[in-house]
Amino acid sequence: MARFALAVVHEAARAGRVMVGGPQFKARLLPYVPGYVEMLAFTEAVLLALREPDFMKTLEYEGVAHDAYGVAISRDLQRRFGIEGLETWYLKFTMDEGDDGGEVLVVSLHQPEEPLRRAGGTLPVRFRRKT
Amino acid sequence: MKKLCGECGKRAVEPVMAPGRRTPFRNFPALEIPESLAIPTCSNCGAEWIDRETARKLDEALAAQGAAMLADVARQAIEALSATMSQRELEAKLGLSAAYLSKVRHGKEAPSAQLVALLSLLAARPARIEEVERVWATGRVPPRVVSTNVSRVDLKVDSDVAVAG
Repeated sequence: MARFALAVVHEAARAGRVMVGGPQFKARLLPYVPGYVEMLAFTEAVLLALREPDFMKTLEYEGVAHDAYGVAISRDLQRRFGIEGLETWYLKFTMDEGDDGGEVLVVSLHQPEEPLRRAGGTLPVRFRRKT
Repeated sequence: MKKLCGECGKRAVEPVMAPGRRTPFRNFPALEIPESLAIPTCSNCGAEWIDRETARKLDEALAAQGAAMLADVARQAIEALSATMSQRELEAKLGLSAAYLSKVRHGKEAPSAQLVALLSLLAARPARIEEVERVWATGRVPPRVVSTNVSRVDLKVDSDVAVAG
């Protein structure tokens, strides 16, 4: 079971209470989007696309829980961000919970390195840009 | 109040202004982030955190910096090519409007990255304009030329490879 309820995550994403960071985050996502605003908008859109069957596991780093998900995003979403063919994504985040509903802190959003073993079944990697 | 760092778990994230930060942006591998631009940064592990406001400021600053670099490279390339042909001649061969390159040269038009890339390649080897002329005349891409008669030092190539050009 995920540490953070998706309803709370979705609410934060809709309100723009999302931060992205960590050493590799932008290096792995910026090549696919035209800038930082789009990078954040894409991250929010993927968070909103998450469903419970996409959940993989909860990991703990330095005493902080992170939920990991594997998701196949819709063709509409791929088209909206100009990344047709880049369908499956690995995503990991934690939350800074607070009275305001909290903020989602996304540390990973990138191409899966292997098939994604999720609560709703294994998702094969589909990540090849269509030209 | 400082924010939580999702990387190290310390509540140590606050806006930081710093020199020497660089980032990839569009076609540029590394543009410098202005020193005065504050980015939420963890004082414990150094992780930078981007929110909507920071993203907007970064895009704005980096787009301006990228545009300035394009304008500067375009100006250098146009000046270099002016030794080989007139601006009007170059405009005609590249299918550009009359006086467009003059506007670019004087900062009155912002050149696209594609045009700057083309001008840079031509400035490095002006003879290639003849290949462009052949394309317009024949409607065909010229055959690929493989030559080893190019200095590896000039190209900074250290392996034994044939150079297309």
